Amino acid sequence: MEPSTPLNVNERLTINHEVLLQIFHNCADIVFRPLKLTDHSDILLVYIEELTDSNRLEQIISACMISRDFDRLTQYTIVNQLPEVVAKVLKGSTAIFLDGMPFAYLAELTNFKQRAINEPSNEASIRGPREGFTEDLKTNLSMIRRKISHTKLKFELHQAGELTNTEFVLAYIEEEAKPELLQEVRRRLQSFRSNQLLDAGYIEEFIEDKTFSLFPQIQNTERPDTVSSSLLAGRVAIIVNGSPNALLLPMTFWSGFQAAEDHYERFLYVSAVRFIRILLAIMSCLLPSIYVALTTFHPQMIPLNLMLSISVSREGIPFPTVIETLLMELMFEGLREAGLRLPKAIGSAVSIVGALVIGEAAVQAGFISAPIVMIVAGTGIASFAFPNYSLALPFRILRFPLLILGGFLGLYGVAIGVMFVMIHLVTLKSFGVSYLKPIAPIGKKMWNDTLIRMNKRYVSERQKQ
Amino acid sequence: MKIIMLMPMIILTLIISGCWDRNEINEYAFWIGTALDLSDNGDLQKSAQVAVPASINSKKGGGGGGSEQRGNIVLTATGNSIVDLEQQVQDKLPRRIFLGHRRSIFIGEKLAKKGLIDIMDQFTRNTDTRMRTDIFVVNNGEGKDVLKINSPFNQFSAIVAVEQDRFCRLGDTALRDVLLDIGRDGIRPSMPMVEITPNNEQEKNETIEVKSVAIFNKHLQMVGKVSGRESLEMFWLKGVLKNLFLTEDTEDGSISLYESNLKKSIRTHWIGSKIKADVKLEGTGRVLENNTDIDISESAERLPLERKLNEIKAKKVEATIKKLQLQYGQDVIGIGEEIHREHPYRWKEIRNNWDEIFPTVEVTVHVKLKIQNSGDIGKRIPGIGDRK
Repeated sequence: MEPSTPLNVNERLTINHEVLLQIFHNCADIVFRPLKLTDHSDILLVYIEELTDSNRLEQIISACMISRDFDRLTQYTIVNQLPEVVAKVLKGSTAIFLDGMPFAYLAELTNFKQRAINEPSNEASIRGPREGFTEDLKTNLSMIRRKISHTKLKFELHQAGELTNTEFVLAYIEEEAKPELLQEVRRRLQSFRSNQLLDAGYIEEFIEDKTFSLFPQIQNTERPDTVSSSLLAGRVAIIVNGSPNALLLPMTFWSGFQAAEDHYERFLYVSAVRFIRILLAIMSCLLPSIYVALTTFHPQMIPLNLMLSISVSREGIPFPTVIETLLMELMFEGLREAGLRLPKAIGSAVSIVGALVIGEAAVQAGFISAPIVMIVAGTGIASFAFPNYSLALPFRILRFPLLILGGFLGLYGVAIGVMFVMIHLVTLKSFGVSYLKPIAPIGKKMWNDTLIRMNKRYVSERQKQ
Repeated sequence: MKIIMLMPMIILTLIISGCWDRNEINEYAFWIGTALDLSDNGDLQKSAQVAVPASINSKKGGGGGGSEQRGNIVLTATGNSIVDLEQQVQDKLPRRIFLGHRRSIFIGEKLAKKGLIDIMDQFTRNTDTRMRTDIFVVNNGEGKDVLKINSPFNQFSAIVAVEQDRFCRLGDTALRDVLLDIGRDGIRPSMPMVEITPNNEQEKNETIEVKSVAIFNKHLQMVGKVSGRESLEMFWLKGVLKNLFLTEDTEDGSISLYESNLKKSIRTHWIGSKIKADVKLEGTGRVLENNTDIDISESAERLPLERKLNEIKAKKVEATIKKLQLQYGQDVIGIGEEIHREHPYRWKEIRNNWDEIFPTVEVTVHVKLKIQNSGDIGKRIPGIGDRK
């Protein structure tokens, strides 16, 4: 706000009107509505039409016409600071100025179009609740509050972004979340220095531990039940207005392998599936590089019959295996990226073309050997098996350096690559918690909810997390 | 920032200093089988069965005269040392030879009789050699003839021999086993023998048969062979055989058993200056065929039968050992090893002339075969002599 504008609401309505017109210069969505009441006094309503419930507004206006009984306003606050009035109006409140009063009434008549609560599209589940977060902070908070109806559940309101003035909430459960963790989170939130906050991802980038790490150190979810169970486990959530993704921290590597459903489905099945997920995760990262390393450096390690069939299919292929694999992997990633953003109708066309070109034609023409197609397909399937999309990304990316290492140095190279990744993972921390906890460093609760999920009956409340 | 500068350097060092033995799988010539023979003028002859992937008929080829097509070629070279011969074979191939997948080695009988000492060193020294490679002596023939066989079951006769070795009764003798036996002084090496059986009417391709065992002396010269029942008994005594089918003639008729869990134990004693060895052979079995009138389900009838079987078998085994002692004089079953284990100090005195002592060892054999399972019925055929 310009320094010349007065900070207080003036007693005279016309002055207020002029000042506000100046502040809201060229803001077409702001409505100024001067009215004359029955006793000939002037009032001025300032609001944003699209954010205001017009029915209730009319009711109030008609009520005001008859008597100046503003107590009948359902929700109002009296504000005498002009900047605050401006900020509230921008958030959707209706400001009512009366002639001769050095303050304004701010009525909460907010009502705007918002998306209905839908099933979370990226974290669908077979069993368990089907609701997902929307873009509205209040709706999101209500979904959590409905699950945890206790005073210990705290929603700390913050605001950030000088231009966007976005509200966000730090959610935690008192006595469950460690005070040091909360302090650390608050300290890091102070460091958020940006004039915009459009999505939870903006905060994530400012508060995560290691900026140059492929692995996500803060979990994000669009499921209120995941947030609730994490809060109950002593974690902290950050929910940003306008973002359907909540941030959960601290994050461990293993939480990326846990689907929300894991806690609703029977534990034996879940434990088995977790093993498959971890196996597929390793596959999605290592399968192409191991194939290349074995076929080009260590043919001794492949059983003879398998190797003969591989060499039969490689007969007459013009590219070295590394290049072949790299090409196909790039092709596959391209196909996925293309299919992701395209409208559904065209998306299926892309996959048909891709399957035909890559799967059939390339092999038939003798450019690409058939085992490579199988390897790439297997890798692709494996990379879809992650319950957590953001944890699948580092594995997708790491596949390429590992593939090149495998192509240059054989299994020795793959081992070096895996070692680098392991060293990185072991040193990684998320808000003071080791990324691989409780496997490395090993903890007593190792078997409760990491590689397998123990039956809840055998896990005492204290032991959780 | 320093780390970002350092990373390319580390990666470059890895790549530049790395082992550049990358080779595409289709630039290798896979050497599946080796044959070693003695040529007419006394030179060493080495033949290689090398896979030709392009002509391995794949499933999609649709057959069509597949039996005429060979998935391999056989190359032969003549010279002095194995490594030299290997290079000669390499000279004939457009791809780098790859020994890591060699499945079997065939040694011609002539060469085996001359001695294998000059050949074996290379197998132990060359790091490419797989110790699980099977090794055979070719009965009355040359190794390269085995390689030329075009078996209807597999493109590579070298693999056929390995598979046949697994399912034939003579167990599985790998290069490693032979090399271990050579390294010990209380046992003499033995290897299974393959035979090229004459063509029969249906199969115009020749087939391989594994049914005898070649016996070698200390100097790795083949001194003789045992076949059939004797070879089985020999391998049982050696401890290689794990199960066998056995048919014995009692006075009342023949009985066939499938014996598994075969065990042997040898105990040695010194009686004066004479060595005595007690051999105990054990096994549990299932009756497969009963041509006697004995009701096996009755203990009173089964136990005498077992006793009788054991006696008969013991006599036969004793005869086999006698043959090994007197005819060949080679301790292929490892009695010397047992003495070494039980009397290590006295063994030192006799180890150097074990070949002379072995024929004088007095061997007694006890066989303990148990009939554990009579099959579906007790008596031969229901109705003939039911239980009274």
